[in-house]
Amino acid sequence: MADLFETARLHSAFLCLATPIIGAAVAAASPSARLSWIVALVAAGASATFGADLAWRVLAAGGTPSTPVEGVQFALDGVGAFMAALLSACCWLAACAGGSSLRETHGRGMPWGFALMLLSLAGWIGAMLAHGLITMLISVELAWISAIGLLCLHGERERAALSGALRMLSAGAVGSALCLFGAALVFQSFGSLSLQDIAVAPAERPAMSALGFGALIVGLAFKIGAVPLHGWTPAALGPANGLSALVLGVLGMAGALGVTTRLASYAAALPATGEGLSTALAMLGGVSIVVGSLQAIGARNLRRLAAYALIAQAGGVLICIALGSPAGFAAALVQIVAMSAAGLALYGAAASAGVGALHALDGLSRRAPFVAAAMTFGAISLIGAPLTIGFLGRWRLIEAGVGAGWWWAVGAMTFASLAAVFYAGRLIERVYFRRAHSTARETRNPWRFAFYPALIAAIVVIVSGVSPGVLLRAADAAAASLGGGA
Amino acid sequence: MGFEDIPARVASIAGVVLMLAGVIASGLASNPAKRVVAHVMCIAGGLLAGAALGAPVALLLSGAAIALAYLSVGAALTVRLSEAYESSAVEEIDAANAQADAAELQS
Amino acid sequence: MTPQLALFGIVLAPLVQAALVLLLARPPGLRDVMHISFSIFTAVCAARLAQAAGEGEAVRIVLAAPLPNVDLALAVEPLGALMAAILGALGVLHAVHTVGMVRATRDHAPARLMAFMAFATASTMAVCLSANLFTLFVANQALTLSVFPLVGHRGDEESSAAARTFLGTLLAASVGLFLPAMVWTYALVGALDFQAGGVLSGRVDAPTASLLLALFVLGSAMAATPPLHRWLTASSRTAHPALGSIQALGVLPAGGISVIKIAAFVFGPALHEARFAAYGLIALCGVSMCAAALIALSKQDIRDRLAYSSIAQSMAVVIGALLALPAGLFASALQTLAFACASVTLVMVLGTVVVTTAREDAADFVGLGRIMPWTFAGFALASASMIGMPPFSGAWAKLWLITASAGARLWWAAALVSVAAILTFVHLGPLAARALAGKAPPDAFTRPDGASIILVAPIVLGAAATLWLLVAADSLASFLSPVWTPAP
Repeated sequence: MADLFETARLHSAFLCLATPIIGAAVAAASPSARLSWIVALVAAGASATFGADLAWRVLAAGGTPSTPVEGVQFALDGVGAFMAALLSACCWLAACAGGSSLRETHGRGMPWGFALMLLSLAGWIGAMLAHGLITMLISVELAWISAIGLLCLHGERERAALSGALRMLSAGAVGSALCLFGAALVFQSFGSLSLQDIAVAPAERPAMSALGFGALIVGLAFKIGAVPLHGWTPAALGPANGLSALVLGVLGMAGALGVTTRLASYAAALPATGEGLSTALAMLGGVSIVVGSLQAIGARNLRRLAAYALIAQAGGVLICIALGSPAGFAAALVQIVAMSAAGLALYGAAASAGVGALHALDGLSRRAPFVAAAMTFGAISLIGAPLTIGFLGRWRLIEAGVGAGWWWAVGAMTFASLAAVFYAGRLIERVYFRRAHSTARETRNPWRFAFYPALIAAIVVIVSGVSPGVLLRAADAAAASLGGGA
Repeated sequence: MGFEDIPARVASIAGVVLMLAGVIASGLASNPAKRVVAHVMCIAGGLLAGAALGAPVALLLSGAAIALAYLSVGAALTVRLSEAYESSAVEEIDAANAQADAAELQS
Repeated sequence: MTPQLALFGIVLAPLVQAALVLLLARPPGLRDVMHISFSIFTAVCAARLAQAAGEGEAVRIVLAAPLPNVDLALAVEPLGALMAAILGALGVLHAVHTVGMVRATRDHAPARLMAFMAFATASTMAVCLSANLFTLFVANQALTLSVFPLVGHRGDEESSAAARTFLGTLLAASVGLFLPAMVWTYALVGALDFQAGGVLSGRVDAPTASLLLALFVLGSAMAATPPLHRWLTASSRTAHPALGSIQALGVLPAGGISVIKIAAFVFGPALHEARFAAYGLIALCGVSMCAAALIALSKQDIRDRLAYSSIAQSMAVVIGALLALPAGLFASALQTLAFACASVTLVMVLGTVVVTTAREDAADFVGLGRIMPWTFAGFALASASMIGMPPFSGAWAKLWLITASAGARLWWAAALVSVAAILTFVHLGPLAARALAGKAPPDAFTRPDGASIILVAPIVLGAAATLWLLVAADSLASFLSPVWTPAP
């Protein structure tokens, strides 16, 4: 038994990737929706366990564990291991909350839904552990197309989801074209597409490598939903159901940000590449914060509001990455955790309460106090209220920004917090201080499993805000080995 | 720059132009089918530019597979959209969505 | 009780109080006993801390370490301990009066009201005893969130709008102004701990100091410094017990205390470097003080009049803190205490008058003193203190403020404070005089038995506190002296 356990640990990177793929196949073949849900829970849980072990060994043990080559070559680095653990944990929570969709759909199409969710997870994990750019790009596309498929499944009940899927397809295709072009430029410059080779080899054509990484990052920015490339976000997330909103809004955005962070961690150290990349990322980040925040203020639909708010959060992450320093990358990872927790709390609560339009939140605290509490903690984390993980993320960014003399970044984050006071404050006010309309009162009671993930995310928001030692150490350790420690 | 580089450069510029044309066509396309074709055009442009730059075959094959995936999903989506909205015009689809949003806000 | 235990107790007791009040909402008697007894316990903890501060004991507890080098910590120092002790003691009177009010008005959600008042008390105590800027920031945010439901307590559209204004103004100022100033301070000195003599002293140039001071003072919007004063006037229509937590014992004093702590422990002598901003803010506050007192005169609704009068009083606190003189800081501290005593007394009077006579218009107060002599004696004493009329405690505060202004060669500031005192006399003095000397109205009571003892006794004791402060002024000055004369 101990040998088996040790063998599993030795292959944890492979198993972290393989379990969702196997789980997807089994879930798709499941005869009943409920069984597919259980399969998805088990597969995502197993992936999360392997991911946590991998992160533990890479980050806490202070070195890259040796991994046998199993047909798929992995390149383990701090950022990749950190993000793989985070994404698989998010997916497990999304799978829990996604149970609410079982009732919405009466099980129709759900085995495929869970299979696509697991494939999306596998794609993002693959991109985090990929050895070279080709594997990374294919993995990202796997994740993206699976998410489109998931949204299309919901199109049977809500046709606007199909329209959102088309927008995602457009964004994904343009992003893919840019990434392919960028990868070709990188190959031309370095003579290799292996990340580890890129980290150590001198660029023969620095301008070309800068252009290549720029194209790769802009291509990924489509998938992050960074402004002005965010057209798909409200169109896809507005009509999404519980499961697809969690997969697109949390897993997708965090995954794309993770890949960007990982890629930038290899590129930042390259002469003549880092500076241009930094400018591009900083511009994307600053605009995302401002536009995302303003659009969140104007949003009338909870999922769209959350989408815009997460775009603003993603802008913060991009600014952290743009700093290019270990402190910046550590801040980026903390911000991604904060964004994921807030997203899980908001989308999870929305899924479990079956709420779409903002006015449907009126009086939610009386109908579903725990769901309301989870939503509130997610909202106050978006504001960046002290003793929440949102505050920690912003503090780390501001600290890193001040260190680099980026006062405009401090201003942008302050603006994001100010805007969040309005949109998150409005959300809290509706939940606690408005009386439910007659239609809202008829809303069904939340499905009991569905609100646990939102509640867990809310607890993470507070616990990580009050006692952030473990998270900060993990983020610092991940950022310490930038570019795979090259 | 040697003369032998000229065809490669022309091909890479053509690839970039094709990519940009795909982006513009995707934005202007009046129905989903045209948009899907524009997507494929865009990826093909990226591949052409990559090939001209000497990208490895594995990357080009991967790009081709990605383009095929987008084409397949796009084709399926086009059929579903025309069934769901009983229309193939992007404007009509957007108008129907806007109407649904307004109705949701009033409910 | 050890000071450490008292320091935990002063923040935890109100939280336990809130939980118990909600859990034991019925029977009402048990709920009321919990509310009053835990208020007494909080006051005892505060008194123990004041004693520890007087004996020079250094007490500090760390509640959490959410950021590297920055703790969420509470510490005992004379200024905070004194404020906590006085506000804690007044909190007991207010708790007793609240019990009487919720019974008399048959409040629709008394347990919720009491619970959030307890949360507000915990947050206010945390503001008083905050050990660093971060804790002050957190406590201010917690206070805002605790009082937000109190502002919207009535649940109608008007109170919801007021609650939105309250939350929006205070959170926006806190996040948009205070937070950047805090981060900037951290970037400059690498720490946020309060320190007698000022952490910024000798570490900032004049433009930076000026900008930081403006951000901190305007960011402490709880002090109602214009143009960030709308939350106070908007929230004046809330339930009477909640009004006490907003204007007298919670938000407004917390704003004043924040400004004093920042002036004393963050700037200290660096206030001289920030002279440009300080003078600008003093001018703003001085003019606002006069304007608020003048607007109060135009208000017939007694709640509106008191709200504007409170703005004028709060401006005196800010002016004193910015004078960069020990006398100014003492004037500011004394003004905070005198205002808390007078304001809580006035708020309780208004509550008692409303539940017994249903009168809220200044013109309807004529002659009520004849039938409610104890209540209106308290009203007269508290008004005299607010005006700054000798020999009441407010007089000392105003006198020190005028002296300190003159000491700083800011004659115009001294003149503005004097004009504001005269205008305060004009809007409060005749009201008290007419209430006591006018002809008693027939059938004034809507309740056959008039006001109960628990509605009147706290008023009398609150008024007595304004007299006690007068007697204790010298002792308070020596108690607070370590704040501006740090140990070498």
